[in-house]
Amino acid sequence: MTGLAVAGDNVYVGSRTQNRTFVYNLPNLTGRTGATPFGGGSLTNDIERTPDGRIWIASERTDMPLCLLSSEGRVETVIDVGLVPAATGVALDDEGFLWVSVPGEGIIRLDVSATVE
Amino acid sequence: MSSNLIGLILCLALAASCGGASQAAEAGEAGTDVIDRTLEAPAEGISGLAWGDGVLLAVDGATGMVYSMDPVSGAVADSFKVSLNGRSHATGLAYSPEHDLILVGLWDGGTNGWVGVYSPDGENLNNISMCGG
Repeated sequence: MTGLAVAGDNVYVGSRTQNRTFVYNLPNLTGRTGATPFGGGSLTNDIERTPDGRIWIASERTDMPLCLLSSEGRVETVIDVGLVPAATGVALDDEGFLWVSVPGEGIIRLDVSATVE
Repeated sequence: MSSNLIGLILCLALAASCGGASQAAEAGEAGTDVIDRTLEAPAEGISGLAWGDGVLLAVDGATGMVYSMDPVSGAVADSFKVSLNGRSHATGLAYSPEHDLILVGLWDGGTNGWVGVYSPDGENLNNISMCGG
């Protein structure tokens, strides 16, 4: 179980071994209500959900440490590994900036508005 | 055209070119992502981030420390420790504004996972076992 995100009354829980996110209800994480496969974004460290239902994945994959999946689990965007070589945590703030923890480099705030709709 | 005038024109052209490149770098090239801020991490092993009510939350996987950070300066305003209870590490972090809860993922590296439910001041309210790793 690696990665958590919240949207409204839902909690999104990432699972490496099952290669998908599961959705539960807050506050007691009851009643699994859905699941989305990770597609190419497994080996998750952390996840974040966008307001329109997509999932950012911070993963151990060296070829795509930070990527955005569609709500169906299809890889939509892979952030350039030259910009983000590794990612162990991910969060979206209220302004739409993406915060990413990058081992050895700190925590960065990333403006992805040019490449992500 | 005198050599002085040619030199002046070349200098002006060079200055305009350099200024334009600088502006493009600051604003980000069209179609590229931009790192516009870097904060010092409060610990070596950050393994989850969350945005909560104007602060950036971060959890250290090995120690289970949850940090509340100023998103501009990176200063740690508050922190609390998650009980790992022998589980190998914390991974994943989320905040629910509706319920004012901090959720911390705990994983044994295999097929056992838990979600620790905490109040913003660090009170442990629940630990929920999740199937799958």
